[in-house]
Amino acid sequence: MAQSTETVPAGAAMRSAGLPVARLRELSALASRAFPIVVVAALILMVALVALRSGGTTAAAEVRNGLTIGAVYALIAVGYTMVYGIIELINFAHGDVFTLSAFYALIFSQHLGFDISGLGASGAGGFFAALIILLVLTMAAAGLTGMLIERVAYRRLRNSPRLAPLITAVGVSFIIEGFLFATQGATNVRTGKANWLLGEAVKVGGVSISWRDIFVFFSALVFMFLLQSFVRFTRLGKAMRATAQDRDAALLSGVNINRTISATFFIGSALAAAGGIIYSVKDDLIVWNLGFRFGIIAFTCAVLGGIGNLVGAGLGAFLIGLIQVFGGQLIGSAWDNAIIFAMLIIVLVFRPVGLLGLRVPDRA
Amino acid sequence: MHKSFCLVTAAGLLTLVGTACGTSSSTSSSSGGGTGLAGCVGSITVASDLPTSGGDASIGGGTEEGVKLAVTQAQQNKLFGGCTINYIPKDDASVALGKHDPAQGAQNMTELANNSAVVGVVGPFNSGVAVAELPISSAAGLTQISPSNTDPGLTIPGSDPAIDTASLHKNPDGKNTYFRVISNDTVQALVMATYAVKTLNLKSFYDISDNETYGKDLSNYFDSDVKQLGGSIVKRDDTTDYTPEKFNSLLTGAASLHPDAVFYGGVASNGSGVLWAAMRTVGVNATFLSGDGTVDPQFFKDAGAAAASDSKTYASSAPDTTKLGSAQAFLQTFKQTYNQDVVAYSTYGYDCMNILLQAIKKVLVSNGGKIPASSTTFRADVVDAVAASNYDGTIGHTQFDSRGDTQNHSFSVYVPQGGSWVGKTTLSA
Repeated sequence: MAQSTETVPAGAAMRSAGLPVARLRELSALASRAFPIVVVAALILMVALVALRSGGTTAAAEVRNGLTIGAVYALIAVGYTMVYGIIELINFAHGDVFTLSAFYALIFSQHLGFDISGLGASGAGGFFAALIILLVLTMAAAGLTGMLIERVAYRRLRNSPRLAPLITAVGVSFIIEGFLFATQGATNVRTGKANWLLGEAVKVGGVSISWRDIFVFFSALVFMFLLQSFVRFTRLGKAMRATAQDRDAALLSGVNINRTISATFFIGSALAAAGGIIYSVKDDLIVWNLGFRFGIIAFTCAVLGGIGNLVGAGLGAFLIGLIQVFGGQLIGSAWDNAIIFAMLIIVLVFRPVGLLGLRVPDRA
Repeated sequence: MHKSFCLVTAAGLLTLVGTACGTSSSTSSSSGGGTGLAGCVGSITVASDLPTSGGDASIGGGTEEGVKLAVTQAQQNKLFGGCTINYIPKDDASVALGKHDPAQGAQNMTELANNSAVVGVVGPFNSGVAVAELPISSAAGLTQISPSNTDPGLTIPGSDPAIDTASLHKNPDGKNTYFRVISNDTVQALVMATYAVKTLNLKSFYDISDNETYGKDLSNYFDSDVKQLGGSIVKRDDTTDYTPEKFNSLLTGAASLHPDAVFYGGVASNGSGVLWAAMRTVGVNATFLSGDGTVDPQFFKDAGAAAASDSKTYASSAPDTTKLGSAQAFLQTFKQTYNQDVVAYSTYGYDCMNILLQAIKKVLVSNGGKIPASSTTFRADVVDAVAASNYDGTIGHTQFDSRGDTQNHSFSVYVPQGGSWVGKTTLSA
């Protein structure tokens, strides 16, 4: 982002300072290039340290924890990254759309007219049937909500200074949280999916991997794959990429910008809804302000992966999930949020384009 | 004698008789409602400050209902003769936190302290809120009686490194204005630790605290008591994140140490039940132990159906009063009034308000049946009268020491039974 516009502030000053400034720039470029390697190396080191200190079983169990929570982050992070890619807005309400859709799913399951929680718990067939019913309904509802938010709060501000839509995004976030607090209560709510998936699938070296872990991890991968194919191979996907690259040029080539942006919000919110349901199956407890933290962590994942880059968001999410659990294990659990956001700062300072990088056109 | 009378009548008769008994136990000494107060003119304002919305709604609300019942009964019985009672219930749960909030408590207390009509406050519920409120109420000479604060640092200097006790008590006349009807966490921790090590034969413990004033200190005392009793603390964590993921991760880290039990120093609105459920998720098959913050209906909502009658779950709390003869009339009236059962602190809230009202009555009587002209004097006199309380109520006998702590030093161990907490045994330390 910032990198592409970076210029040397005063040429004369640089010449007189000579070597040090040049060397500094060289170092910074080196840090940027080495960044992915450093991240991966640091992670491997963390895993090794935990394994040494608490045993291989603990380390392996934490890999499982990190990947499953990372899967949920991934589904939220893609929404951030899509919206950022296309209109350069950090949609702070996105985390709350995630919570909202988990509650949508809960409300749908209460008003379907049959016991969907029972169906979900009745073996593999019932589970997939219940899951698909809820996914379809909830993703549609969340998608429409996302479109509504864009229409009401962002569209008119599309050409305003960037701070304006950012503030409305924060506003929308508070509105959704307030709505959930008022209508769904202040306490944790059980979604009734606790016994949808029970039992251990496989035991790897003393670490039990449950069916639930497998479901969470692979369903996130499936959704990411579907999204990536959609963006790459469909007309609408092409329009989205075109709009992200250059909105004016896309407009000139006949792309309906409003419809494309609406579709982006629909898809991003629908994926957050999938995340909400998967999270409900995973932990069964949801609460009105769940999305605040999840949203801001998912945003960090998107930045780490390279904001605007779909694969990057997924990769960033799994990395952040692992960094969170291993960092907490090593330094102390009080620090794990600090670790995540220190990561955000490091990325922004040394490699603002993120791991996979995507140069976003600068419209300054 | 009076107590048994109450029991018999309340069992058979209607609410009115029951309520008359509720307050009769110590009004009798001055022979009934209006003695010398028939000519009293005006209204007397008392207040409560409890978390009655958000995550603490079930436990805080149930406590407030006990407080309210005491006021209603005193009103009906014309406790102050011609004077009426004005009751201000405050809620210290904030929307920002969705649960008890020290900042909200401080704001409430400032409002109450500035309202010169208010002569006494029942509350707060949480020790962390008390830390924020005491400097304000003590400076204003306003009596506070807590039904449930257990942090020893509120009254005993040096007992909680996180609390500067002296800074909480700022009364210009050097009076102690803070009282509590429940013993503190040094006693509570010792009761739970002794029960765990001696009775349940548990040896190794993983301790997590919610890092709040109450929870962290309770965990600290529990750790040192367990060690003294010959058990070991295999790991200790303090967390401010009460999500399932967090607890999954913490428990994963502790699982390899194979603790016999997991102790949670924290309140239900900070995830006692979430932790319980996480133990199942991660597969930590240990006994779950906690303190009075967990003896809250919210625990079962978070923990899920599996916890409803779990046989490996224990939590200490204020002595179970539901089996005391002195509480029966109240329990029945409570059920009739609110159509629900008491929570662990309903009787405590009820007694706190009654102690306050009796003290006010004493002040009125000694002032010739009139409300003292100066609100400062009125407040100061109420402080003195509460300090001298010698009260027999639903929780038994209450008398305060010079620090305002009750002289009743016992706690009960509670277990889940059919989705609610039931007292198993009461121990003293």
